[in-house]
Amino acid sequence: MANKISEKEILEKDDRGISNLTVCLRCHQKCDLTAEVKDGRISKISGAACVKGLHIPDVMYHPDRLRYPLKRAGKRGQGKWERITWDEAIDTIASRLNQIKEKYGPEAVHVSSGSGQKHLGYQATMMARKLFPTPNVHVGRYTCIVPDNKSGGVTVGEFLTYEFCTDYEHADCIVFWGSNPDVTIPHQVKDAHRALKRGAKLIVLDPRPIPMAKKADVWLKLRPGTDAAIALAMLHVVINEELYDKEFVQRWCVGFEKLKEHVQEYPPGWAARVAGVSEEDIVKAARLYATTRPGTVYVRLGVGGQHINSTQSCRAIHLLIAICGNIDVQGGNLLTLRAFGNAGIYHTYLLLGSGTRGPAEVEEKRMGLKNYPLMDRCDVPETVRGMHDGRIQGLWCVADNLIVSEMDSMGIWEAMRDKLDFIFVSDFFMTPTAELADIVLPAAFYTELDNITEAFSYPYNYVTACKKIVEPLGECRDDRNVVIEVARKMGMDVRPWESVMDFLNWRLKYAGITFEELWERPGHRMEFPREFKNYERSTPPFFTPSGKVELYSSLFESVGLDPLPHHIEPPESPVSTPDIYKEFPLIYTHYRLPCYEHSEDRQIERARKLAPDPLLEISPETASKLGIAEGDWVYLETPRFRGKRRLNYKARLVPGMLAGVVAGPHAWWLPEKAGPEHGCFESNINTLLSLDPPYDPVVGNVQCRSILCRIGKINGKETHK
Amino acid sequence: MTKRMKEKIEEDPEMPAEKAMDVLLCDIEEIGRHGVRRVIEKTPDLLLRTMRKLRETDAAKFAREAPRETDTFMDILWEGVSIFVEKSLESKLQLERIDGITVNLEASDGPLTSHVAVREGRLSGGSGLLHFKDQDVRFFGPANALIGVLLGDVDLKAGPSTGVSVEALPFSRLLLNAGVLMRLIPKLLRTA
Repeated sequence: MANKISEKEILEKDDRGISNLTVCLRCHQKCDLTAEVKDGRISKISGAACVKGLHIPDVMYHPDRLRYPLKRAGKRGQGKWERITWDEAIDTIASRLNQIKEKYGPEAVHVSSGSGQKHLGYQATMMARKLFPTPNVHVGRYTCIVPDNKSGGVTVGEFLTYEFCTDYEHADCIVFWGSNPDVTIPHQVKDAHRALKRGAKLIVLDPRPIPMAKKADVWLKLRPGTDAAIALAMLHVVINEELYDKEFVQRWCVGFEKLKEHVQEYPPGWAARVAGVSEEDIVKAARLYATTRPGTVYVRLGVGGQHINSTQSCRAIHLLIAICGNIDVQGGNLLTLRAFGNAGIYHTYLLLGSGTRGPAEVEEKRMGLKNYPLMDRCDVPETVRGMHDGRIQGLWCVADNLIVSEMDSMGIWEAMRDKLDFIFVSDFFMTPTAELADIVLPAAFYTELDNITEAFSYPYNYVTACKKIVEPLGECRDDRNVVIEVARKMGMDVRPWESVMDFLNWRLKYAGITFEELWERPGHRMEFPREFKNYERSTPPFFTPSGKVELYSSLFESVGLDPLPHHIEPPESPVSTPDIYKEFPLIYTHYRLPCYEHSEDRQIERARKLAPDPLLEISPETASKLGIAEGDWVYLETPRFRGKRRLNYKARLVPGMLAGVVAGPHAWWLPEKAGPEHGCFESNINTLLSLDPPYDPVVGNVQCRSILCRIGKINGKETHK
Repeated sequence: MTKRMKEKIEEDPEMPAEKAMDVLLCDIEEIGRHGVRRVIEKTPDLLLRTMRKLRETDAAKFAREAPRETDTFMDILWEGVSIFVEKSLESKLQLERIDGITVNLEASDGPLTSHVAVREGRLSGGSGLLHFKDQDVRFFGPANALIGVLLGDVDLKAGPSTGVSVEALPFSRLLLNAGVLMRLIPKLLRTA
């Protein structure tokens, strides 16, 4: 749940009459922060904040922060820039986009946003979809939570295992599945710790000895990529031992008999052999979860995003939650987005599937539409192929370090450098992605602009009006304002969003309130009480075709996908490619760091002191066999690029790590290294991943963890100095 | 006059598409000339049959080859439906429950666009789209599928396999209200 500060703190205003409240957008937690302002600058952040929130002034006032629009003055990647005015920037962008549209069609413009500034980039991208218009937009990363959310969508009609859906406070059983909550949800995890202190049971599924694993009643240290096997086996146990919630299943679910028949193929003994865990532990976990209610499950990227079977793996987990009667109960997994829809608020995530689409004749040209009809954004592998073959000519990266964060880093680099007609990038810093732009725009930080933020909390969810606390640095601008100005200059009809304030008011319109009216309310917010078992009072109960929980998915079936989940081996694994495994006997997975959000903050000194080097986690047993000691620099190689590319990491020996598994940090680059690359190919696994098939058949993502690799000591060489 | 039109519409189920299209074009012109109210008072099911024929001839193709007549037909359709509403107390009560909703329908494969709005218990609509700022719900997809929705032959709950996307503030009452409206329209066309 978002961390809220007191009424007293909220109402404190400075001598300009500006409230010192803001809501942090450095991650999804949406914690309330208070800011101290001195001489027109934020001098300190306090209140409820993790280290990323505390570093806000360091980011805002970093000497390398972009402050003015820049135009390329040499070849792409040469690092030669000239300062230009915003008028020239907007004129140039509009003119080039119009040229591309005229010659190649609106679909030749790709707008890509990552997770930077949480939601602001998403909003700008969705606005661009409508206003430019273009169908080929991508928000966040499809390798993030999209598979998990799609499986929730077809099962219950919305998200179910995302971070704001879990009610740790009231849970008697907590499951962390492929998630490391102490890192990824630093405030919400406090609720989980409190629950554990009062005696809640804990199940952890992770090959790494995350902090929660040490407290677990059951820790399944599974082989990466085998989550579906375990989930199906747990379903087998729960169903065959009749531990499921019979009343809930009978009244609110469809497809139970088909599910029951289906899971007979997945006994725990089989899953134990597949996943490399004990049958006894699988049975224990199943019984514990099913009989200790209410229970809540948090799924993150260990299973929820980065495998070609992620969607179906998450489906299996959703089915387990469903038949155990833990949907939308206090202490279970909550149906949360509907709170905003019911209240008439366009939550940012609600914008993704609706409300911001362009004309039909443009939308039908979305890349991936035919292959992935359930997706609401373009297919990234196809779009990147389009960047190479000319179907994509223009690119806007907004809050997105595309080269670092997307697979096939080098391929994207080459396409951007050599193939695209026009590129513009909005960011805080000159990233490897920005280095290849024709125009770079300085983005305003969220404390420098007006915004509405939505947060999930207990006992209520809320939406907050946040006014800018300080003026934007230099000539930095709100990315949403950029969309409007560019579209206006392109000659497009920008109504009803003639300004960012119009956009904010539009998002509130169904609630019958304006931004200013929301600002005038106590705490600048509207609250929506958390309610449970909404399905008992809703029509339909669940937003699925049948109106019920679809254990057997009619939506999947209607588009030719498996209506029930299966286990599928990763494309490279000890089982699917035993010959490759002999040469590449380790399995790679990722981990995240509490001081960085994806590729952000590598240039922030305070953050970098906490994690200065890219560390590869290795079990002592594995390291010993390879003659690797703590702190040694090692290389990592994958089958696809054997002999051609290697990555460098510093070894960190982790007792308790599953032997045969190594884990690397996500999205590593080195701002201190010379541009244009800034070391982005040195320790970033995306350099060794491609966008070739196979793909998740629902979402279209490639396999980017649980991949085979080998490592070795780098002799006589220290890097990153 | 209307009997003749009706006969023409029904005369040959195997009528080739091109000929059916010609028939449709004439009929749309005639309806427009004689007035919708007068025509449907004489032949209440004419709109239903014309829509079925439109779908059989391929609505998108018709729209591409006769965009003006397509627009005229959309105007006729909604005027006709609003007349049916006037005669049905049950429909008026249903419309009161969904008062204020505005819906755009946009074909993805041809220039078939239409809108409908419910205000103060009355239904109004026509060709073209309401501006995005005034739109609550939008249906878009192949023209034939949209006609199928209006005929009640396409079940939107089947999801993407219908080819029709429905766009509205998720989890709001707007989707439900649009569903009520889209179930009401085929009923009106059938029982008229």
